Amino acid sequence: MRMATNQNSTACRVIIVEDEPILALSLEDMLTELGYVVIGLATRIEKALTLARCGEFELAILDINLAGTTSFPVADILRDRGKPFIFTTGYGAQGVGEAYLGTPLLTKPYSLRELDQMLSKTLAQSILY
Amino acid sequence: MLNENKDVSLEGKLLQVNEALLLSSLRQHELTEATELLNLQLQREIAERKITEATLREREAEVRASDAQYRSLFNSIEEGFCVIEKIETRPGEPVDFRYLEANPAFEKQSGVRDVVGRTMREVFPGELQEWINTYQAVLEDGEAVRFEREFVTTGRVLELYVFRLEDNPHTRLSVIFQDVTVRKHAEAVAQRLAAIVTSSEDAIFSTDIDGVITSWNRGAEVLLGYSSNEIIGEYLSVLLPPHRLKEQAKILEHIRDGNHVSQSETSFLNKDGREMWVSLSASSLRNAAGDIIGVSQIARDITSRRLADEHRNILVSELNHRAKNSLAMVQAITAQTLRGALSLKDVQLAIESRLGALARGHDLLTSSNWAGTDLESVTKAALEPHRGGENRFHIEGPFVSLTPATALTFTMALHELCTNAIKYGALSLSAGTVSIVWQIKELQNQSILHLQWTEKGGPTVMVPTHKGFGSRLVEKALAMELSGEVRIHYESSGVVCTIEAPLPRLDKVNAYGN
Repeated sequence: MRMATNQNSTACRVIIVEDEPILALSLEDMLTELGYVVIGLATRIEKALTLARCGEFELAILDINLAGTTSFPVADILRDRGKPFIFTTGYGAQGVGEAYLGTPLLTKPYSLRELDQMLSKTLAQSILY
Repeated sequence: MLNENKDVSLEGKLLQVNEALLLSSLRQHELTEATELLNLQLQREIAERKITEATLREREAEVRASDAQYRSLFNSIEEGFCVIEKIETRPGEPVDFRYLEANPAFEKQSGVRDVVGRTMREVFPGELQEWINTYQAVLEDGEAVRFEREFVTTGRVLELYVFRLEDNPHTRLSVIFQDVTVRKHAEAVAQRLAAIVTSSEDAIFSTDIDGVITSWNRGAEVLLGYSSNEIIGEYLSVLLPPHRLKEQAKILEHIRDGNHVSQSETSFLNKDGREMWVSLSASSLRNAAGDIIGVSQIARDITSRRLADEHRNILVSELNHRAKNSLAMVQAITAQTLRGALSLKDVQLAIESRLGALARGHDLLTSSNWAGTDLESVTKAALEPHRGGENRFHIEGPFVSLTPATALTFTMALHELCTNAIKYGALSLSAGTVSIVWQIKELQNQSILHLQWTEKGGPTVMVPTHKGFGSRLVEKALAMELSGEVRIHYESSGVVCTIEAPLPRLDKVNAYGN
């Protein structure tokens, strides 16, 4: 098991939007292991929208497909709020809408290492811009 | 005859003069008067005679000129022309006509030469009697007839005009005719083409070069909903989705340059504004001079094929998604199981049984074609491997429909409860039982599911010191999936798990089911 990386600095807060609870829990564990703090977890679009609008966090991880709908409305809010986010999907890159072509994308299943690198890269870029 | 008469009268008059000279030389005065009178008369007659001769010559010249004119017309007209005469026949002998005259075009139009002097039956053996009957009728009635005749022997089609020559008795006819085989053939081809266009299920229509619709077949009426009366005279742009205006302009330009468009996939709007996908072929329409005067377009309906394509793409994409999601689940279950592992043996068994539960959950959904299932089926399927041949489960509750995703999470959660009961709870002893009972309660227009898992007859339960993946799967994952509350109570008499969750409304169930 690897050591958490962000233990010393103020922990980065993350929200998870993932309609499959077992995957959501697993992702939560992975994030915790990487030193992030999961402050919210939504499996349905309604809760996800509320979290995105009102939550206090630095980063979001969104499953594109949410029980037959997409999480793009959540992404719209995050973009408006200037919050960086990462998409996850089982569909591959073609599942990403035109509006979000450049968004970081994790294709399921992904490893802890892939998640770690994607998070670091996304946060670094969000600080740059 | 006229000249002869004149001569006779002049000679007569000269004789009369001589007689008078001989008989009466004394009557000089009378004679002189008579002679003068005669001279006058003679001069007048000679003058008259000169006038008459001139007129006659003139008339003859006119007739000759006119004759020449007609002869030249006869020889030079495009149409075949002939004069025929009915042959005297004895009663019972078939009627026949002989060619008296035929112009040079006769051969070209009929395909037969040197007919003059021969009879129709000689020239056209094997042709039908009815043809000669027609001529016979014209001869009898004097009424000209225009008719068409296809020759049995040559397939040539002639258009003929027959009229009677006004001599007496009536024996002669004139026939003017021309070969219309090519025209007839073209007409037949045009009719066949028109029939094909009419009966085609493809939409076939034409426009002029400005894009105004000029023809519209039945297939177009069916595909695009406009009747030909409604649409002819309208601009083609009426049928175009806004984003296709440029494309159609390009097609028109392409055609104007003399090119052909073959089976290009595009779409038109039907009368209801629905976009109809078609495979379009287009080519130019030209007038006799070869100038492009319009465009003909053939549109084959491929809407259903497009829908099938889209459907297939969705299925492939969905299949890919599910496969990836399943792999992600396997990954998550494995990772979570490893996390709390005490021994390799434990891990192996736990992973095996969890993946087994996941597989059974999929089986259940596959058998319902991923349309969702119900709580009782899910419960029975999840508990089946743990029955151990004896009925240690009591399952009771009303019908509750579950979406595929909820059914899967339920299966996994029930599997964890079972595994725990077998390891530490009621199912670890032979006398232990588990009851799974649920009800639906109505609260403020919302159906709430109350489910209770109750273990009895097991060893005294100790509250665990740490919660593993199993209890998280039950308390957190299932709660999230149900948007409800799930609690595990470690009562000393046995584990009790309570679930309280709002049931999705039926319309929502359907939406998820789809």
